[in-house]
Amino acid sequence: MIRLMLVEDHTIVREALRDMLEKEPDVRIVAEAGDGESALRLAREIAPEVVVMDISMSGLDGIQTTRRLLAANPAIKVLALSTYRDRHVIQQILDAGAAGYVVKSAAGAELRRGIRAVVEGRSYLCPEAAAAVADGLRNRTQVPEQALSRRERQVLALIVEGKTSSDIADSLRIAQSTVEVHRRNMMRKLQVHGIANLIKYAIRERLTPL
Amino acid sequence: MKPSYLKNHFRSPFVRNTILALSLWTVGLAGSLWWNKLTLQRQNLDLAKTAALGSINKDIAFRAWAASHGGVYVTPDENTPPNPYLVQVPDRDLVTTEGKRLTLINPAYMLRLVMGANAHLFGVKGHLTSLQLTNPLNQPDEWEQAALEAFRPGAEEATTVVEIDGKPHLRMIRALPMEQGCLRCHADTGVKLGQVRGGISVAIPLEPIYAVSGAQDTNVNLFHGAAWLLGTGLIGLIALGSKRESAERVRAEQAMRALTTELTMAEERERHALAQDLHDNLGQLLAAVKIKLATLDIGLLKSSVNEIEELIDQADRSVRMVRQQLSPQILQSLGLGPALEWLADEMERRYGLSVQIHDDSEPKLLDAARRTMVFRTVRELLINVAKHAQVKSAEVTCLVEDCRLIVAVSDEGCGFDAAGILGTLPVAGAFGLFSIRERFASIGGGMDIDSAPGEGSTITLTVPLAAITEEHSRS
Repeated sequence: MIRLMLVEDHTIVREALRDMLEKEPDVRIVAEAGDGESALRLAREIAPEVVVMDISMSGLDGIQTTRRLLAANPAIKVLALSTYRDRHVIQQILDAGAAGYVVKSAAGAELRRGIRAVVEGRSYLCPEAAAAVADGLRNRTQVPEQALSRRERQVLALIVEGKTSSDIADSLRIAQSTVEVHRRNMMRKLQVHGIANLIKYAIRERLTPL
Repeated sequence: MKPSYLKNHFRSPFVRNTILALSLWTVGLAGSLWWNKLTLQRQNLDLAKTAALGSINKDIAFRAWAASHGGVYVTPDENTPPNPYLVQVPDRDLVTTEGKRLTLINPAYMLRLVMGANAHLFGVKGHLTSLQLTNPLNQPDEWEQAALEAFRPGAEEATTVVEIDGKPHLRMIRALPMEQGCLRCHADTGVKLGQVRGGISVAIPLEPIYAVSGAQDTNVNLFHGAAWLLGTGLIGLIALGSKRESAERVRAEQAMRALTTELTMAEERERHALAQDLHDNLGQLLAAVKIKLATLDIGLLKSSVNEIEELIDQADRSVRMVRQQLSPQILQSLGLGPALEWLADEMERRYGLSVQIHDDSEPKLLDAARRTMVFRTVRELLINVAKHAQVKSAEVTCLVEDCRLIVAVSDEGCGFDAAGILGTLPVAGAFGLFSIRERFASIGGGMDIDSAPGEGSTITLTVPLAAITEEHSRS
């Protein structure tokens, strides 16, 4: 018998989940929580085997609840259940320690499959979640680091001349915040830290006379 | 950023103008007062000179008359004794046939006697003097001596204002030329005819003239005082009026700004609330329906249920799409950084624009409405880049500096004329930028465009982070 706790702040969804899971012969719902705080309390008292965890909840959300719950009892398997299909959210809750992820619209068969998988100690992503993660891996075209733009070289030349951000902003007729952006972008592109290194670079590369 | 329009306002024109107006008015009136007093003084002097000249002319006339007769004979008394300086004159003392004694009074002696009476009766002090004295009593004083020595043809008069016995007097001296009549007694001086024999000086008391002009002076003072008070009052009233007016304008501007901020924020809150509703109600309902369908023992109905499930999935997709447009879920749950990462994925997927997000990993404490505003603006800017910049990649830089969140969207595409696009009337493409600028200004932040044709573009958004109530603090 799988001892299971439902954490879901939408009553309608929770009831639907309960109805569905109660029909499973090997699943017993030992607790239900509508928010993160009571989930943590019930988990301490009842120590369920599996927790089906919603992510977006007011107060403590699913990610924070998962982190705390597993810190208190690492043996519990958390299966995240959410309407999110974004790889960043999936990434975040897996980082928090969740063993699996199922999107709500696939909550029928996928949820049952997920529960059994995590009980057996495997990780589980429903097809939609797996696709989102895979898309994320595939889509990211790595853009090669560009050289400094003409504008950035102008800003650098003024920095080398010892001008302050506000001087540079005045002479290029841009906002100080924009000067700051150019400065940060240059440091990133050149992989240097601090103004001193930026100036060293400019002198070494003879970037100063434009 | 402090609202600089406030600072400018109080440093500004109307205080400066008021001070300027008051100074001009004061200086102008002081000038007029000085000029009036100067004129009055000149008048006094002219009057005194005329009087002095009158007195001297009279003396000269007297003397000339006496001189034309070689002197006059009078009955001597204790005030008019026979002139001891005339002992050598043969007919100094006469006795008439009836035994009456007469003595010769020469012109100078007569004048001295008359001047003594004049001084006694009218305060006009006359003096007959010379550098070649006959009578030591006629010794010139220092001033007379200097004037006599300075006499030249054409400059035979001198005047000055002095105190005599503590009272102001005008002194005047005029040269007396040697005449035929003088020679009878003064041939011994060696002064030739027509040369300066000596001088007649007179001192006219100025007090009676001052008494007349004093009244005029009082009038001038009163007039200027009253004019100054009146002008100052008027300027003060105008300044107060314009200050009140400009204070009202500042208040109105503040109210306007507060209203704009409130409107902007209300709009963002509304979107957020709508998105939340969609998620909380419709989204969850659809999920519940799907879960319930999954629990059905479907059997023969399988194909119909599958169709229904497909319809529900479509509804679910629509809900999520609308929700993402309004305020992406991930923005509220994970914060700006992850939401921008998500946006980068979206831009790549939908527009083929590769977007790099560079976050300085500082916590960015923004409330939900501001976070949504920043996010949606970045999306708008990225879509602009995808559509117009003719590049395949863009960068988003997020950093925290001086309690401000700075988010910049940069590309190395075709760029545009930033000044031109914002300087002209809002045209289709620029309108978005206009409205972004307005919206960010209304919450105390700003937008800056750094772009030129062929130079790519960097559009920088700033949002103050201080004094923001925090709902979700994760970045």
